[in-house]
Amino acid sequence: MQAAVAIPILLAALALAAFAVSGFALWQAVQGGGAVGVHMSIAFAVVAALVGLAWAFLHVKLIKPLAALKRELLTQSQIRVDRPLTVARGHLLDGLPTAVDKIIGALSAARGETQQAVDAATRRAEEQKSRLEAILLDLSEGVIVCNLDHRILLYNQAAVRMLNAHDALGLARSLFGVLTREPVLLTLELLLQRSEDAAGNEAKSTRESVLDATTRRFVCASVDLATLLQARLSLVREPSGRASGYVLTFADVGAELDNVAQRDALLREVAMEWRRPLASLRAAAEMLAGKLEDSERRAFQDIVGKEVGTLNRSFADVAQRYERLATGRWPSADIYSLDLFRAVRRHLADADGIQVTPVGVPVWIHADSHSLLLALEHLIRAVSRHTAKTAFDIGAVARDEYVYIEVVWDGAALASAVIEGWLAEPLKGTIGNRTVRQIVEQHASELWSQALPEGRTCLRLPLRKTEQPRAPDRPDRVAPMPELYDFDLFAPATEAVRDAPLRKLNLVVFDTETTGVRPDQGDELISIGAVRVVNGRILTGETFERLINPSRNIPPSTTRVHGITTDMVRDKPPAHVILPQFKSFIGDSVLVAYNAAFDMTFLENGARQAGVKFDNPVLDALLLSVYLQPDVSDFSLTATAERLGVEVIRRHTAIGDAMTTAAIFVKLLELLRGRGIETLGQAIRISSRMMEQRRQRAQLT
Amino acid sequence: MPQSVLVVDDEANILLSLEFLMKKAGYDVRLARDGEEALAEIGKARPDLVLLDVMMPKRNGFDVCEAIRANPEWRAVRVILLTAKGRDIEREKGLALGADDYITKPFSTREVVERVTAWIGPAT
Repeated sequence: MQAAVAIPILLAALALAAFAVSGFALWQAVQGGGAVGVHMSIAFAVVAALVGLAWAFLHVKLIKPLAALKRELLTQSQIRVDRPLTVARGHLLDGLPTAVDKIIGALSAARGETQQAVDAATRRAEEQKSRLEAILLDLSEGVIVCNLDHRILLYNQAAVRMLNAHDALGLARSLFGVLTREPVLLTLELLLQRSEDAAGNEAKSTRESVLDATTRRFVCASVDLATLLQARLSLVREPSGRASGYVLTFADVGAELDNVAQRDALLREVAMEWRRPLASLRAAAEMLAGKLEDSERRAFQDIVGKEVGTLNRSFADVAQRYERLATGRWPSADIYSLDLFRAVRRHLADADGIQVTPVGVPVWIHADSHSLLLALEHLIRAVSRHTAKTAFDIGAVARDEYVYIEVVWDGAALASAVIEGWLAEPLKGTIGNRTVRQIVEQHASELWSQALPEGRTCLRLPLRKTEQPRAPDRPDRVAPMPELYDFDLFAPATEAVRDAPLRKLNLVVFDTETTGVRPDQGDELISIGAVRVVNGRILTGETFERLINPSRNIPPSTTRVHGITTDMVRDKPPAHVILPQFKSFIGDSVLVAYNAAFDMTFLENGARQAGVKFDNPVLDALLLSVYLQPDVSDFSLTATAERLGVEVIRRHTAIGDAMTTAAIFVKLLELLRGRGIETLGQAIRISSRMMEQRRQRAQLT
Repeated sequence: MPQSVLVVDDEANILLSLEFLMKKAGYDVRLARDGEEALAEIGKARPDLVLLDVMMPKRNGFDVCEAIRANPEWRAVRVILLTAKGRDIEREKGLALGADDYITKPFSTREVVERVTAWIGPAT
């Protein structure tokens, strides 16, 4: 029996014993005749009896039910028992057992629901897992999922097969046990950089770069270099947007049957098709070597001429197809020149202390980006060693079907024999330790150095241009010019600035997108894009790009022009936050825009509320174009760009148009110099004069 | 005295044909079989035009072309490159390095004579 029950019973027994002892004492006292002793004994016996009784009562009515309740609760907390609590009747616990019973009921109901939810979620996860497994199994592409430490989290059978890596491929093992390291690291670096950019430059993240920011194609190889792979790397993001890993999908392109078949066809064609003309040539040559009549000689000479012509044409065709095959064998992908150049800049700055500045309008290049990156780094290092220069500009100039990658420095041109020497060195980190020459050949290109004006030299490497991505065609027209704009209002404070040579100025070329073309009727800024131009070089790496939340909806008619919707700017800062940022970006630079009066009016409207002043000198690329080419009628940005041989990129994005305007303006500077316009003051005067003429013409019509 | 043409190629057959062709056109012809020989020949007596193969041992055609342009006394020498690759880019490189013209192998004899004549005029 439990102590809790035993003790009260013992106490009751003691009380009875005390009662008996005191009864005996009473009897002794009566016998002895001591009255006081008798009374004491009686009182003692009564108290003892009362305590004993009270205790027995409490034990039955309170202590026992409480112990039972505790026992029940302990049981029910561990297992689910489907019955009401068993507590003896007649206790003094009042509503306690009922209340506890209710709580237990609620608890068990909650337990049931949780269990159901867990079961359902497990079922769903299992379903998804088996579906994913089925998809992965079914894929002919290899798939490997890694965390950012390049530990493998998941892979499929195709990956094992393609990489021929039964031992090295395993969960939690390093990816670089099965794949070449550098291409993966570079691609990941470019992607992470791009997604950081996208986070920083908010406008970009909402535009066409969304896809680019998460996925990138590249070429890599199995670690034994036996298999060449065309791969795609996508970032895996947490809900917060932070990258937590990446998915790598790849296909074996080294064994592309198609390519082999085409090569076979070419060889067959040479072997079979050339047999006939060669046979008749040989016969004719042998005949001509012997004694012949004049008429016979002429006949055989005709045959020689005709067959040589046939062979020549066939050869030209075969040679051209071979060229395509040979260069097509190395898989290439599109890369944004700025991404490539930034990687070059970072690597050379970190490892070699060489300062590389990306310049010019960025373009898309079709190339094996990893090899190209290594080749460019190798060449710049070599030039730096040879010339002791540590500052280089790097840019990509689009012309016809080619993009010319140019590395520029101060100094004389290099002899081609010197460059030839660099081309022969094998490059570590390329697939198969290729040389720069092989990489140049792989791109069906040539490399040479060429003198530029002002004692500068460039190393030039032409590459094929990418067709994509093309921005959709959008309407292109010159926005109406605001009624009044006074360029002289921004006359530079000092003569020194006024007389500064245009070419040496620090410029910021910018463009805006707006809710409409009527600032006086409440239209507002929704985007600013700008790029710095110093010494006639467009500093591609120094850009400003922001979306702005206007205080009104963006009408669909203007969304059609710039592609920005009200949704896209909903969580963006308003103009009075962005404009001071823009002001600090431009500092005291000269501002340049295409139809500057339009953009300046919007800037000034916003500036008052933002508490900043855009009192920088302003030049208008449109008015200067009108001055230089007065006979032309179409002065849309695209038409002007085309006339000056400037590539139009990302038309109707603020940053794209700013870049295009910058490229136009750099060309205009050359043309202005040809007309004797050399200083800022002269250029501002021209802008004012052209503005005045336009206004007068507008009033007449 | 007719204008002089220096033909530079490491292939004997081509050299023979071009020599015959230029002589027939009335020019004074000299021959060189590689880049170094070519520069030595130019050093001896300045030709009016050089027909210069690109792919040669001991200093290729680009190299020779640059060397010609690097010497101010040879500025008047016309250089026509002969190449087997036939890429636009190669042509552009040649012109960038100072060549005046560019002919792709295999060429027609008529074309060669026309180009040479265009640069230095018919033989006098």
